[in-house]
Amino acid sequence: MWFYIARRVNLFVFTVAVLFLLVFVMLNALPGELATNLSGIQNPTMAQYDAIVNQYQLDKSWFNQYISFIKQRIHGDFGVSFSDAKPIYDEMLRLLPATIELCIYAMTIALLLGLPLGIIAAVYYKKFGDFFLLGTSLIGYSIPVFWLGVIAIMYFGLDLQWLPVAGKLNLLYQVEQVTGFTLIDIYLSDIQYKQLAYQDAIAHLIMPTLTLAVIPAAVVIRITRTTMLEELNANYIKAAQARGQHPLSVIFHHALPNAIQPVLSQITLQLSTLLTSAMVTEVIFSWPGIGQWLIQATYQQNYTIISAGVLVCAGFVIVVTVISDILLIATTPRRRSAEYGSV
Amino acid sequence: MPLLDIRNLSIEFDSPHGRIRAVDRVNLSLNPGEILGLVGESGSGKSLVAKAIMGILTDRWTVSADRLRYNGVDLLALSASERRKLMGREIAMVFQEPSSSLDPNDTVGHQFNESLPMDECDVPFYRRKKWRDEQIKGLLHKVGIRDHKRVLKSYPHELSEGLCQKVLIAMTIAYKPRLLIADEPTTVIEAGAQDQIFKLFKKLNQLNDVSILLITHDLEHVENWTQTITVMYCGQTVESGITKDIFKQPFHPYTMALLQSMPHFDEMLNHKSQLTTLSGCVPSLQHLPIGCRLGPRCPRAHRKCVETPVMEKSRGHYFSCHFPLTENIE
Ligand SMILES: Nc1ncnc2c1ncn2[C@@H]1O[C@H](COP(=O)(O)OP(=O)(O)OP(=O)(O)O)[C@@H](O)[C@H]1O
Ligand code: SF4
Ligand SMILES: [Mg+2]
Repeated sequence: MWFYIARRVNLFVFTVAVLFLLVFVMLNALPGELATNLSGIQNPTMAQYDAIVNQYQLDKSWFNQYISFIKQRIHGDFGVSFSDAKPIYDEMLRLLPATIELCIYAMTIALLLGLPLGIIAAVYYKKFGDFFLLGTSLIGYSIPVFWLGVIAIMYFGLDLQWLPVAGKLNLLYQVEQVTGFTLIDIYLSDIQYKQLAYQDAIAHLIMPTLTLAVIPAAVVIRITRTTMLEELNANYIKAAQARGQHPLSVIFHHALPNAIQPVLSQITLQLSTLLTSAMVTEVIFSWPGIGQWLIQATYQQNYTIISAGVLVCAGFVIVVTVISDILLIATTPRRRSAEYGSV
Repeated sequence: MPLLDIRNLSIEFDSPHGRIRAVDRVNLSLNPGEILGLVGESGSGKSLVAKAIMGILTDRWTVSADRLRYNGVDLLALSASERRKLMGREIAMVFQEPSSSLDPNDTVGHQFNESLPMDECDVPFYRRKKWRDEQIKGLLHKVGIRDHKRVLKSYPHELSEGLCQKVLIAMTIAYKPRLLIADEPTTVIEAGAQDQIFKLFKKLNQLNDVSILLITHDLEHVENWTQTITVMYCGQTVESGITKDIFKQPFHPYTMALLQSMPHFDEMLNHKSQLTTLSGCVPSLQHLPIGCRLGPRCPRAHRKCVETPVMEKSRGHYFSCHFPLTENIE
C-alpha cells in the first residue's frame, strides 16, 4: 500500500510539472512581453523590469525560467492583475472559498439525491421505477446549466419573487470575510441579526446550488445504478440470498459497501465538469467566485489572471483526484493487498 | 414422496440469436435421506439447475417446469418472503466459486455471524457473543479449520480458495438444512481434506437425515458417496438410476464414455463393449444439434436420433436413448 501511495504521489508531481509547463509555454506564446505576461506589470519602469528579469531569471535558459516560474507560483506569487494591478494571490484567496462553497453544497445535494435514487433504480431494474429514474436523469443531464439558471431566475426570482437573483448576501449584513464560506463567516461574526443573516444567505444559496446540482445528481444516479447492478449480480450477493438473508440487509450490508467505492472514485472524475458548470452558474447568479472572476478576465485578456486560474483549478482537480485515489485504496481491503499496488 | 421433485425443468435465455435453451426438460428426483450425484461435463447446466432450485437466477433467465417441488411445495409459485423462509434454513447451497461467493469487503467472521441461526439461540443477550463464537468455532472445526481465529479475522482475498470453500460449507450447515445442494464442493480443496468433507456430508446425512444433491464431475466421489445418480449432457438428462446399477451397466452411450474416462474402470467392466472416449467436444449453446444432443459425437447414432429420445424406464433405471447399450444394433 505504501508503494502504491508513493506511486500516486510520484504521478502527482509529474502531472503538476506538466501543468506548469503548459501554462509556461502558453504565457510565452501569448502576444506581448514575456516579462509583462509573467508578472502582470504593464509598462514596467527600468528598475521594475530588472527586478522581473532577476525574479524569473529571464536572462538564463528557458529551463531556468521554467523552474523559477514554478518557484514563484508555489511561493504564492502569481503576479498582479493586468487591469487593476492588485496581487492575484490575495484576490484568489478571497474568491476561491465562494466557489468551493458552492461546489460542496451542490455535490452534497447531488449525492444525497443521486445515491438513494441510483440504488432504487438498480433494485427495480427494468421496472417502472428504473425507467422513470433513467429518463429523469437523462433529462437532467441534457439540460444546459445556463438555460436552467436563467429560467430559475425568471420564474422564482422575477415572477414569484421568492428568491434573490444575484450575489451571496444582502449588503445590509456586514459580515467580515474570515473563511470565505458565508455560513461559517456569519457564525464567526458578531452582527446583531444572525438569524436573519442566515436566512438571507440560504435564500441566496438555493438557486445557484440547485442549478449546479442538477447535472452531478444525474451523473450520480447513473453511476450508482450501473455499479449497483453489477454488484447485485455478483456471486456473493446470490450466495447471501441463498442463505435467506433479508433483501435490505443484502443491499445495505453487502452490495452498497462494495458499490460505494467505485461510485465515489468515478464521481471524483466528474470534478472538472462540476468546476466548469460552477463557472457558468457563478456568472448567471453573479456569485462572487473564482469562475466569474476568470470569465471577466478572459474578456479583458488579463493573462496573469487566466494563467493563475488555470493553475489553481487544474491543481485543485489533481489534488482531489490523488487524495480520493489514496483514500479509496485505504478503505478497500482487496486493494490494500500488495499486488494491487503494482497496477 | 420425493423431497425434491423436478419434472421437465427448462431454463432459457434470450440471446441475439434467439431464445436458447441451456437446460432442456431435465428430470430429477431426490428422496428424503438420499445422496444424489448430478454429474456431467463442464457446461452441461448442472449449476443452472442448482440455481434454479434456489431461485437465484438473474432476470434474464426464464425458468419453466411441469413440476419443481420441494417437500410438496411448488418452488416456482413462492413469494419472495416465503422463499426466504425456506432458503438457507431448509435448503442450503454450497457454491462452486468459493472466493467470489464471499463479500470481498467484509471479514469472514462478520459474514459468518450473519448466517448463524439466531432464532435457535436461547441464551440471554449478554452471552450471545460468546454463544456465537462457540457456534462458529464448532462449525469451523467440523470442516477441518483449526486456526479459526486467523480465518475469521481475514478478508476473503487473504484466504485460499480451499479455505473459502470450507468456510462456506461451514456457513451452509449452520442452519442444519434438510436439503443440501453442494455444487462441486471439493474441487478446490486439497486431496487429503476432500475425504473429510465427504465424511462430514455422510455424517450429516446419516445422523441429521440431511438429503444431499452432490454436483460434481469426479466420478470416483460419486461412486463412493452417492446412492443414486443423474447424468446430464448438454442441458438434458441422459440417464438416472441407482449408482451401483449404473456403474455396473450403463444404458446410455454418454454415461459409458464418462465411466471409461475413469482410471481403473476397465477392470471393473465386465461388459465387452468397445467404446472409447467420444470424439469432438461439447457443442456450444448457439449451435445445439436437434434431436438427441449427443448425436454428432455418438458412436451409436442412427437416423432416428434426430428425434429427441423420450425418457424410458427399465428396472428402476431411466435413460433417454433410442439405442441403449443393452440392445444390440447391427
Ligand atoms: N451468465 C451466463 N450467461 C450466458 N451463458 C451462461 C451463463 N451461465 C452459464 N451459462 C451457460 O449455461 C451452460 C450451463 O452452465 P453451468 O454453469 O450450469 O454449467 P456446469 O454444468 O455447472 O459446468 P461446470 O462443471 O463448469 O460448473 C453453459 O453452457 C454456460 O455457457
Ligand atoms: S439417442 Fe442416438 S445419438 Fe443419442 S445417445 Fe442414443 S444412440 Fe446416441
Ligand atoms: Mg457449475
